[in-house]
Amino acid sequence: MSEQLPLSIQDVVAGYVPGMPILRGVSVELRANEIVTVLGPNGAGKSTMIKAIVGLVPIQSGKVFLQGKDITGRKTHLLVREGLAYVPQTGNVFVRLSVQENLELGGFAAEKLPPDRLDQIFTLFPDLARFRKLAAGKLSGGQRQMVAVGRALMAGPQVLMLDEPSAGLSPKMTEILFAKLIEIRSQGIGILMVEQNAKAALAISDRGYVLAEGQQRFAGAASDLLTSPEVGALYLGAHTRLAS
Amino acid sequence: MIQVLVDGLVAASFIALGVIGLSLIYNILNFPSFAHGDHLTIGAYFGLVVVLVIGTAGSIGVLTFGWPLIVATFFAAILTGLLAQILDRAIYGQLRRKGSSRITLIIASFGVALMLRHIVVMFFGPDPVYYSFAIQPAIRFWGIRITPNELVVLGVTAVMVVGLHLFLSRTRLGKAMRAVAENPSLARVNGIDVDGVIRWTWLIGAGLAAIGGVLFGMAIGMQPFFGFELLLPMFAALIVGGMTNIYGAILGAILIGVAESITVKYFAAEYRQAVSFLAVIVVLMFRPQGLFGEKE
Repeated sequence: MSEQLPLSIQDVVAGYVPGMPILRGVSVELRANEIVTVLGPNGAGKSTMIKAIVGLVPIQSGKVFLQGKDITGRKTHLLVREGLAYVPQTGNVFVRLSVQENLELGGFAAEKLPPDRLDQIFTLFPDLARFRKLAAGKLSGGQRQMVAVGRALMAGPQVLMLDEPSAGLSPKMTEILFAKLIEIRSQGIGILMVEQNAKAALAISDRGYVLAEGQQRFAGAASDLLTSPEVGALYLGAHTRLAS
Repeated sequence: MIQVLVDGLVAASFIALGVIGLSLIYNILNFPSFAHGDHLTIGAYFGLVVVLVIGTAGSIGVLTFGWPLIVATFFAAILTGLLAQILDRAIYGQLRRKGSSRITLIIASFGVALMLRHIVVMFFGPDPVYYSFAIQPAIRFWGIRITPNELVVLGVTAVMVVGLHLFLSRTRLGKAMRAVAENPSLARVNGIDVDGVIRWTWLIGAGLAAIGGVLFGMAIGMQPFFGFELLLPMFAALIVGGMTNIYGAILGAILIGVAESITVKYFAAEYRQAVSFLAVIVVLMFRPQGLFGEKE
């Protein structure tokens, strides 16, 4: 039942303009200790789904539950305290602020921040410790993504949501980042991500969903989605064509 | 020469206290507020009201003011800050929620500016008024002539600028303000209450402007248009320094202040306002992002 689930969304209809929904009734579940990937071509509503969950896109109907608690339509800035962290696809670091200030900001919402939280983040991302005084805008794309994920983890979330974390990263960097996500999951944090890079994302995921035109097309174990000829033909092999 | 510099720094103090708020509002609310000059005016006159209620500006030693004006400054800053918050709730906030364009907000701020200015005229008339009519001889050292009141202007401004720096770099709210200035939606996602930050921005920006206004009234005297007349050099300082860099804007204020004082000394006082324009044109020709701004 939804009470036990870290995150579940039920029949969510959402969009910027009333009567013109981008997301047309989507249900997604994130179970404990899972990485779940949501796939789909551009315009499928993947980002809209994540933005609707965090309250950046109005939900017209349906419900969002975090740890069994109804958070539908909750104000964005209040969700961090509830245990929901979100890493946007673009503009996900404060470029004029130092790496350390970026991380500190991530912890602002936490009611009680463990004093060693910053050190935990630096243990997870040792590179960041070296650049702690540097403006985040001076970092490479991969390092910025580490800052963004580190900042999201500062408030001690139960659920981490990522919008296309591998966008703009080299395959090598994507591999490093995804390895970190497995490490984060091992700390008991559920991860829901939206990806274009289907193969790499499904390889580290437990389950996956495929959206198209604002509705769910497929759902299942990540390994099944990877081998499904239907999904493969539509969304994996044709990935580059669909993304263009 | 050094005298010109000192006079320039005094002029720069008023511009700097104004441009801090102008820069904060520009970066956090994303529009240049044409009513900001009038926050100095309103602040100065709020101070005058307190002085009139107490009955005297007092005096401490060689200064032409005492604790009544210090109390007045405190009230002026708080009242002007609260007034700015009320105006935001009544006007700018409504427009933001409707998704109004930046131009709409600018025009609205023009309206607010006119309203504030003429409310002052309505109550106090258009003629100059003063906190005190006491005459203060200038003191001389190292070949400089400066009045004790002007020294206070420089001191208070320096304290405010250093305080602002510590606030922005050390405190939680200061960091949150920098975060909202750079990326409001990411700030929100981080759990920062953007509406709360906006309220603080008005309080701090308008409060500092009010302090600048009281200092202006104390050192020079006030009439209902002085704040508006400071708006042009304030914008010049903001543009010259780089719109996104508050420290650049403060340095811009010093540059404009000193340039004005050079003009007054070696050319003619009438050209003072033209200097601001000239500085803006010259800087924009060579560095479109301002001296300390970043390229977009």
